[in-house]
Formats: sequence, structure tokens, C-alpha cells
Amino acid sequence: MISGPPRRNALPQESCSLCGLPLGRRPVKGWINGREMLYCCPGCRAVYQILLARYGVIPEDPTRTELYRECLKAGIISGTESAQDNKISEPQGSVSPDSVELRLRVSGMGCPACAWLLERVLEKTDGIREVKVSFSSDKAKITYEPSRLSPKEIMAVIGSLGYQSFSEEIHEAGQESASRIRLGVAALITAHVMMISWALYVGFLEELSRDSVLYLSIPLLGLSTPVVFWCGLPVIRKGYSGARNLVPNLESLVGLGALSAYFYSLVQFLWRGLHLYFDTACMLITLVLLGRHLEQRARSSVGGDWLERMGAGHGKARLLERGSTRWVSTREVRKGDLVLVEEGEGVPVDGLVVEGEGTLDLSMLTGESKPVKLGEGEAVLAGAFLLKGCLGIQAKENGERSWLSSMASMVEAALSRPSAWERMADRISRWFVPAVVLLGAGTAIWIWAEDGLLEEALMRGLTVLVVACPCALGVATPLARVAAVGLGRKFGIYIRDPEVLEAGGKIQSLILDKTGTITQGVFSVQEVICFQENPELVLFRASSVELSSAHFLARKVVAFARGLSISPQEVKEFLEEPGEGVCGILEGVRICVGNRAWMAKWGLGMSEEQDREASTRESQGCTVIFVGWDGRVRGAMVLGDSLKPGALEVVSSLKDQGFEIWLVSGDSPGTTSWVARQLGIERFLGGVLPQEKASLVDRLSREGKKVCIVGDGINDAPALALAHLGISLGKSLGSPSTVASVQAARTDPWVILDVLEILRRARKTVLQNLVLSLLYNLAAIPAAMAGFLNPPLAVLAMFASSLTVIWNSRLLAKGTLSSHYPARMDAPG
Amino acid sequence: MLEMLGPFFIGAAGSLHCVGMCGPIVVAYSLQRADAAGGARAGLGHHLIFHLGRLSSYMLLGAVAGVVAHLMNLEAFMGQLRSWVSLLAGTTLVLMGLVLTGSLPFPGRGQGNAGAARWVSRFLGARSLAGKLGLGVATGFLPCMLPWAMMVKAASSGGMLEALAIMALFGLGTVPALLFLGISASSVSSRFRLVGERIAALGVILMGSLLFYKGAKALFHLKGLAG
Repeated sequence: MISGPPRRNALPQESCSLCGLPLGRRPVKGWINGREMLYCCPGCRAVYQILLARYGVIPEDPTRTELYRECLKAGIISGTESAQDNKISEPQGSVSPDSVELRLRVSGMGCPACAWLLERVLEKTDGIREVKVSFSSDKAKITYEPSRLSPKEIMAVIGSLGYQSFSEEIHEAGQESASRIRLGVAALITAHVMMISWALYVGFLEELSRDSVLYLSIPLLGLSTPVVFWCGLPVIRKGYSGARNLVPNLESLVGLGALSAYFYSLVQFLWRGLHLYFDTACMLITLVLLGRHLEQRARSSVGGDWLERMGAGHGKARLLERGSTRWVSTREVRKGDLVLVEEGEGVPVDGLVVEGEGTLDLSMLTGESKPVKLGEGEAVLAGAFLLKGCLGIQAKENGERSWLSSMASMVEAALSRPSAWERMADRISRWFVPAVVLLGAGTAIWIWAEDGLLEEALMRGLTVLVVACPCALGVATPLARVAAVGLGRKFGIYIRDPEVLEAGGKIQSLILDKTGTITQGVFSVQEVICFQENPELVLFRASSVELSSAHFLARKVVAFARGLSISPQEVKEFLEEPGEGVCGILEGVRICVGNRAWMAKWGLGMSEEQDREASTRESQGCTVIFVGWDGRVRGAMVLGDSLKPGALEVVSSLKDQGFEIWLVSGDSPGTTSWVARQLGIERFLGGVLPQEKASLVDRLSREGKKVCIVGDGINDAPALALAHLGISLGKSLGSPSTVASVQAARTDPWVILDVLEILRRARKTVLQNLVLSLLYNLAAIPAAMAGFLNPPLAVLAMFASSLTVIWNSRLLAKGTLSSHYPARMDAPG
Repeated sequence: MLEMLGPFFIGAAGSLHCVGMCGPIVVAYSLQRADAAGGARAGLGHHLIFHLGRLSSYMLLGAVAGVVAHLMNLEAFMGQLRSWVSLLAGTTLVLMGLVLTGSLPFPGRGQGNAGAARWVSRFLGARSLAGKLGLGVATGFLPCMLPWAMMVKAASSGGMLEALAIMALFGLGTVPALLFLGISASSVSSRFRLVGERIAALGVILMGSLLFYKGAKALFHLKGLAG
């Protein structure tokens, strides 16, 4: 509703201050605190004044009221605010009343300079507070004041710069086909132009009469005009906006080239000259359109659309309410709601299965393609796909706050934060362009002064301009980054910090956290020791007594017994002493289960051999529970943490790769050293506090080593943050606020190898890309200056270099990991 | 019968305009209820009472128009005046429709009804059902081209009952959009609202043209008889 103060920029107010509909011929005027407001009718003015009076001091800033927010939500917002017109859904969650976040997809960005240009221009636009345009993800995040600007106007600004913007939900299919039509028309006409031009060239050889040449040049002009000015319109517009804002881009150079070729030919045509370059103008436009088209396609094959698919919370959920279901937007699902998922549907929210069971494909989350069976009481995450069965899921989080979407926004943020190399490439390309313009102009002037050939000078200058465009350099790093992040995602690895793509390849020291990384992190019965007794009897009696206890070790024992199909029975006269043990009578026998002191208390004797055997286990970090009856200790159960399957192979592979491996743990030094010895790790630290892990990282990096730490992300936070590369394993539900630079959805130890390989390959790809693109430019500029190239050839060379870089990045994105990942997943266990 | 549908239709289309103008009032009192009741939006009862109030003021206006119509009917010597009234009303309606489309400026200095505005702001603070009734009644008197146009139509209808029915139907037509808005946060785009307003304006123009045509025909017919 209340649109607030008229825009500060001098634009005349076009719509009613209240209802937002267009003003009539003679709008109704009203004065509010000395400011003139316009309304479509006296009614609107009356209501506006009523509301002002009612809500007191609004005039200063009406947008700060709750009423304003409610009206915004209800869609009766004024101004030219027409959120619904553009199918932009209601302002997203974090609305402070006076600023709204708008997320758009921007197409047509050829290199990071485009993103930079958009940011700069949008930032200067009145009413926009914050702009973040990401070249890598083709996305723009704009915080604006809805009272002063509408999404439509923002999109118009973007459009005026020669780019197209879409609401995130809409696909740009229509736009894409429009640009394809331009390309098609351009290609068709250019083919004809080339044919005629060729006839002219040949005609020169065969002494074509001057009149027939002049006659042939008429259709040339007629044909090339629409190519340059209609097909080339987006090119010229983009080039102009770039040049005007001092960020000249490929379009600026090519547009300049095409226009100068066209106008030079036009002048020649009018003065009945014979030196026509209409074909060059057409070729340039067509090639740019073709190049951009190919580039866009190749780029989307690098980035894929996984970012789109990951951004959960866009879909719908079947909400179960009072026995009936209805479809709602996933965003509307609140914590605690019941959601029904049927066969062939995706799970919309994070939650617990409360009903039914099913087979799920978790590859979106973990990269693991083997289906997983889930049943009641188990947790599922949004993004899983139900292959078979039907599930009732109780949402654990609001719909828009799923683990996957938090990962998606994390990854997106990572993609839009330029790394050091990228900033360097950006800086280079920004200086490159003016330098190239000077170079081109210099070449042209030199040729002109030397040979006096204006045409040759012009063409030579143009060629230098076009061939030197540092486009490939601009996309070299960001594309490799998109590819690496995409590759990681395929394997359940989420790279949060782009810096690690550079640091990651150079890791020397590897610190492994024991619990949760190398070991299961779960206590379970490892072994039952029996002293001249039937193990089944020992387990049966022990578990029967433990059945009545709520102690967590007792429950592990019971679970273990049940796992072996031993069913414990109730005991009589149950007694429990916290910290010592339990006892009870079963089949007339008093059975005691507990520690040494408990055994002694009940007068159950233990031989030296038994004691020694128990002590050995204890020194390995295990807990031993004794069982005894009839005056003697009969057996013991050893509970402990076990190594993850594959831990040994992974550690030895890491050792083979020459990493300096440390094992650290908060557990006792004894336990840690035992695990380290099992894995063959020489450097280990037990009983360390989280801060001590951090200081170890610090110490190693002071020694000049690049340090990587792997942990479960819960108590390793300081160390993870400090290390050059922090890998956090597992899905820490509800707290994705981890500080690790890499978050893995998997918990198997192989993920460490995968991360290191991805980073190594990413680094390699970035370096290859940079070298390739620079080589192209460095080799092509002298060739162009020497006159070995003509403008259309230069454009071809330019796109060839971009495409090389894109395809190199694509290789990374589409690749699999050499550490034979699929074979491992199918391996038993 | 068909003639009676006109006002309803114009009300329904025009109410998309109401969403922009009166919508904030509905939202405002809904909000206030929400404060009082701790979260819940204003109940259906409050909305119905509000609309009842609005309807009753339209009915009141209709009654006034009806009295005028009735008086004119009584005084109609030889039916001549009726035709002139039809012509006049038709012309007025067409002009009003043009104002609604924005092609003509709003007549006068557009001071509107200051009294109604004062009422509205007083009742906006009220929390009771009676307050909502008052608010509805006051809202009905806010300066708005649509009810005025309907009043002209009502006054030209020639009968007390018809006049009342026209205003009541018009009022009823405006209820759904606002009610929907009040109960659940709807989203009506401004383009959609504009289309609604334009349709209403065209409806008014059409209605005026019909009246004019009827008046002209009657007059011509009478003249023809006289001649």
C-alpha cells in the first residue's frame, strides 16, 4: 500500500501512492508533511490520510510499519511494485520492513567483468542497497527498498545493460529461443552477404564493370543492415553499456568493429566507392552470436543445473492434516508438520519417518547411488528420492531450512566469492582491455602513417582489438571452480571455501581426528571373554540383569545379545549401584554385572590371568564389564569403539602419497596410541582438548606446512577453522554452521582421498586454463598486428580460446575420481 | 433481471480496485485484532460485520437515490422527464466511466467526503463488533467513483425497490475480493487489479450508453407520437 515518499530521483510519479494503479490525466494531489503525493482518485487519498492519522508518524518512513509489511505480504503493495507481475514470490524470509531481498537469474554474462559491471551500475541505482552478482552461478542477489523501486524496474535496469534477468523460478527458455532466432537470422543473411561479396571479389579479377559492382552493393547494404542493427542489437547494447561504464568487454570490441566496418562501407557506398566491408560487419555479428551461444551451452554443461536442483524449498509437499492431504509449497511446511511422500516422489523436508518404510535414493545428498532402506524412527533429509514404498515424515525443520538447501546456499556463496587467483585475473583483464585498445589504435595509426592504406589500417586495428579480448582469461578460474564444486557434489562433498581449490593441492600435513573419522564413534560390544564358561550362557545371564538397567552400556549389552538372538529375561530382586554395577536373581542364581569393585563387593573372585586380560583391553581404550555368579567371575564383555571399514586402506594410501599424518583424539593417550599403532601412524596425540588441536594446526603451519584437518566438525571447530583445509564429515543436522572449508555428507574414510583428489585436479585445471588463455592472447596479438589475421578470423580465434578453456573445465566436471569410487561403494560393508 | 446483474458485475470487477484502496483498511483492522487476540487474524464475523456495514451504507445511498427516483416518477408528466433523466444519467455515467478509465480528470477539486474519512479513522481503532459495523458504514461513504456511478444508475431506475436492489447488488459484488483479502493473504497483482478497474469502467460506460440509448429512443418515440 503506502508507497512512501516519492522517489528521490526526479522521475515523475506514475502511479497512485496508495493503490499503485496508474494515475489518470489529472491526478488528485495531496500534501503530506509538505511533500506532494499523487493519487488516482480522492478515495485513495482519503484512505491514505486515514491510515497516516491512525498510524501516527508514518510520513517520515511509512515503510517501517507492520501494516506496510502485511500489505506487502497480501500483495496490495503500491508504487509500481508489481511483484506478482513478474511472478516473483513474496519477499523472502529475511524481510526487514524497509528492504527486501530479490534473487534473480541473469543470463548473458560472458565473463566476470559483466558481473562486475552489473554490480557497479545497480549499486548506483537509487533504492538499491546491496548487490551481489555472481558470474559463476549466473545469479544476482539484490537488496532493495520496495518503497522506492520495484523488481520490474531493477530488471529493466539489467535489461538496459544488455542482459536478461529472470525470477529464480522461471526458466529462460523463451529468451533463449529469442537469441537463437537472432543467431539463425544472422547466419542465414550472412551466408547470402558472403555469397555476393565473393562474387564481387571474384568480379574484381574478371574485370567486372564498375556499374555492376555498384549494382551488387545495393543488396549488400540491404542485407547487412538488419544483421548489424537487429541481430546485433544485443551485442551493441551490451558493448555500449560496458564501454560507457568503463568495463569494455568482448561485445564492446566486436560491436565497435562491426559498426566501424558497416559505417565505413556505408560512406564508401554513398560516395560510390568500391571498398565495401559489409561482409566483415555481418561475419563479426554472426560469430559473436554463435560464440556466445556455444559458450552458454558449454558453460551450462560445466555447471549443470545441480545448483537449481539443490535449492530445495522450491518444490511442493503433500501436507497431512486431519486425515486429508493437500499440496503446499515446501516453504510453508513448519516444524512438526506431517508430510506424506509416495513412491516416485522426492522427500521435501528434513524429518523423521513416523510411518511406513521405503527404499530411498540418497545420491543427491551423498553421491552414493546404492539405494538405502529406511523405516520408522529413522531420519531422512530433503533431497532424497523415494524409489519404493510410502513414507509419513514428521518435519524436523521448517521447509526452507533443510540441510540440502543450507548446503546449496553455502555452495552458492562459495561460488560467488572470488578467490585470490580470480581477483588477479580480473585485475589483469581490466587493465588488459584499455591496453589492447591503445595497441589496436597504435597499430592502425602506424599502418596508416607507413603505408597510407586506411582500410588496411582499420582492419588491422580491429583484428588486434578483437583477438586481444581477455575473455578466456576471465572465465578460466571461475569455470574451473564451478566444475570442481560440481564434481565434489556428485560425491557428496560440498566445497564451501573457494580458497581451498588453490591451497588444497599443496597439503603436506594431515591431521585426523580419531573419533568419528577413523573410528565409528559408537560404543558397542566388541568381544565377550569367557573364563571356562559357555559364552552364550554368560551373555544370556549378563543381558538379563542389564535388561532392567537404563545405563547406556547396559543397553548396548542387551542390544548385542538380541543381535545374536539371545532373548534376556526379567530378573528378581534387581539392584543397581550407579558407577559400580547391577545384580539380580535369575533361576535362583544371583548374577552380578559390573566393574572390579562391584565384583569384590559381592565376593566374586578373579584370577590373575583374568585380571591381566581385562587390563590389556582397558589399555586399548575399551571398557570391560565383568559378569559373575556363585563366588567367581565367569566372564567379561569388552565394549569399545571400532575402526571404520576401510580406515586402514585409506591411511596407508595417504601414507603412500607422502602425507605427514597425525592422529589426534580427546580420548586417553592409551586408546589413541593403540588405534595409531593399528593403522601404522607414527604421530599421535591423545587426551587433547579442542584448543590443543588448534594449536597443533598452528604449530604445523608455522613450520611452513599446509595443514589439512579432518574431523566430525563438532568439537574440532577451532582447528577446522584454522587449518588451510578443514574437512568435516557427516551431516551435522540442524547445525550447518560448521567452519570447515569442505563439508562431506559421507562419513566413510575414503572421502578424505576424494576431497584431496578433487582439490588436486581443480588446481591443475585452473593452472591449465590460465596458461591456455594467456597463451592464446599472447600468441594472437603479434599475429594480428603483423596482419596474419582478419577480424572474422580473430573472433573465431577468440571463441576458440574460450571454448578450449570451457571444455577443459568440462573435463573436470564430468570426470569421475580415479580412486575407483564406484567399486568401493559396491564392496561388501 | 439482466439489468440487475450489471451492478453486481461492475461491483465484482471494480472490487479489484477496492483491494488497492480499501484493502489496507481491512488489513489494518485485521492486524489490530491479531494484536488483541494474540496471533489469530480477525475472525470471519468481524469481516462479515464490516461488509454488512458497508453494504448498509450503500443501501442507504440507494434509498436516497430511490426516493429521488420515486419522486421523479410521480412527477413525471407524460413520461417526458423520464427520458430526459435517462439521457442525463446515461451521459453522466459515460463521463464517470471515462473518469474511471483515467481518460478524464476527476471532477472538482476532489476534496471528497471529509466527514466519512474522519469516521473511518475513528472506527479504525475500535475493537468491538459494533466498531466494525461503524467502520463498514463509514467506509461506504468514502469518496469513490464506482458507488457514485451506481447511485446515478439507481436514481434513474425509476423505482424505490430497483434503486435499493441496484445498490445492494453492487455492494454484494464488491464483497468477495475484500473478504478473501481479509481472511487469507491473497495476492492480486496490480495488473490484474487494473484490468478489473478497467472492466468496471467499461461496464459503467456501457450502462450509461444503454441508458442514453433508451432515453433517446423513448424521447424519439414520444416525439414521434406527438408528431
